[in-house]
Amino acid sequence: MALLNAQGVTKRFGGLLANDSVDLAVEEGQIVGLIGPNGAGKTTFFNCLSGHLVPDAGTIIFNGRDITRWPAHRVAQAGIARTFQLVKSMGGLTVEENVMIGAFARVDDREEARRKARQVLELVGLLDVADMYPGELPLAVQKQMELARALATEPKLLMLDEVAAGLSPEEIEGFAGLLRKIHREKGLAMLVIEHVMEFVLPLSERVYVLAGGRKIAEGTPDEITNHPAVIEAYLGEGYARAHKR
Amino acid sequence: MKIWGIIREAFTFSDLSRGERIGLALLLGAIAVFPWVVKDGFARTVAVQFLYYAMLGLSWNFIGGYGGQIDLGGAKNVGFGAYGVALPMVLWDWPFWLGLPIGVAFAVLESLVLGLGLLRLRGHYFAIGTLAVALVWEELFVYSEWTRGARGLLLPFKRAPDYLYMQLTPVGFHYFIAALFVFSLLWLNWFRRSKLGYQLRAIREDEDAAASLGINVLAAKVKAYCISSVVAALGGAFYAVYYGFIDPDSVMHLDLSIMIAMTALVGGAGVLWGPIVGAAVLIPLDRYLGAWFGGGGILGMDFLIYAVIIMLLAAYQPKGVAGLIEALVLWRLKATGRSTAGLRAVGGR
Repeated sequence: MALLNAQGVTKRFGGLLANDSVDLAVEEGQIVGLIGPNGAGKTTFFNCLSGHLVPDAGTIIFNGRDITRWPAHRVAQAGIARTFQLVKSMGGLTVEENVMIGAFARVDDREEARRKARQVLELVGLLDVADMYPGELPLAVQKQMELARALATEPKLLMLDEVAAGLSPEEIEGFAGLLRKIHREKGLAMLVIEHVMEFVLPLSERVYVLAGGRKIAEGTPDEITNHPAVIEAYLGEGYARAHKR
Repeated sequence: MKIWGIIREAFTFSDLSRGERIGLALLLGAIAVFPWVVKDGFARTVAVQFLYYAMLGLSWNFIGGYGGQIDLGGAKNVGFGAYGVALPMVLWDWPFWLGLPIGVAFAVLESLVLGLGLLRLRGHYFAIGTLAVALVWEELFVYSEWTRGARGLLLPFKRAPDYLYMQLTPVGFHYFIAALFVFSLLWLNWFRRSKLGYQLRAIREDEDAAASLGINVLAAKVKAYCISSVVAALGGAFYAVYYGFIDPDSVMHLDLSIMIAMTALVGGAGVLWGPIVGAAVLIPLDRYLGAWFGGGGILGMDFLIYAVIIMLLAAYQPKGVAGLIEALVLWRLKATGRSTAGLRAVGGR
């Protein structure tokens, strides 16, 4: 059985149908990409999964439990961690404290939370900026911190909302390497929303494509790049040609 | 075993800077010897009021400072604590120590029920909500015959010192409020580095991020709101026996709610010693300005000077005295060419 199984997720904002019966599944330890043009409803779908929004219809089964209407903190405790499209670094807390907040999801003792936080910071390579404030650090580092914070909650599924947005090509390369390393070491399932194709396609085992709130395609990265509906809706023919070879 | 851990944490100040620890030690020393050194009655009254308002400011810091939820209704809890002691004492001649838990329990229950509703509101809406609720409580106490309405309650007179009814000598009252103040300080010191304290700080920064990290935002806020109400109610209980007379005007008024928030905001919200410095600035300023200018000359001159000082502070140093000190420390470090990365000059980690 899939780790995460979302079926028929529908979310309406007034007259706008942001998600129209979207199905998506993530297997244990799998990296799944979720792509689509601007306004496709990716982040809305994400928010429904993470409990920040309640879907109007559909069911979300995670780890054998129906979490459809659960609030965000319960979803997090059940083992789904997420990052945000616009980084939500808690500016009044140091990097270490930010990650400790994540660790507090599993432990009560402060020093234990600190130890866990430092372990995760070492994993993502941020130990040397542990005592700095997020505002003193570049965006790429803040995004790494947000990733570390999410990892500190010991999730079974990590959901990343456009981690590559606003980063330079080198930084994107570094981030992809970091995600691979985490995947290798922790065997963590990941759901990656992304605009940057060069980032998400090589990373993902399976890719879903949203457009206009509906799922228009799913498959392996290769299948997706050759899918006519996807090419039309999103990728543009140039990219598809370049990847055929 | 757990209780010893909590007590040890409450007495641990090691994450504060050396200057801060020396300052705290000096303050506590000064409070301890004050009645023996200063014999002036007016100065002693000001000292007691300073400790009283500092304590109420500390209570505000739990939810307003560390939690970032601007509470403008703190006076209601002071009122509950004061009426909890005064009403049974007047009606049935109950001693202080029997009325105290009633007032505190009522404050906690009210904050629990109210918090579950009010604390769903964010930002200004929460502030307005607390303001409205406190105003309603004040009116209820003014118009209720049961609380003796606007006439207030005059506590029965006992021969001082009476430790059952807590009718003490001036020196006794000084140490009574000092003990309550230190208790509040230790509780806040435990709180700020506890899991709950970290969670409240996360909520202050970003509620969505906090929830995504498994924090039950509402539950955490309600807990801190209830702790805050306990401390404020203790202050109110002290006030009742200290003045021997209470009415809605003295323990439930909007002015008091604002004053509680002000002590923390002027000194530094979300800094352990912020409300203490705030009270040290505001209370003597208010009382001595009142004494110097209130009696003659231009009527209302004291309020005018007071208001101008507050406005200047709000305009130029919204982070309060703590922010001012922090800016000075950073400026000195930069001037000597040292790194300021990751430095927090005040309030510890």
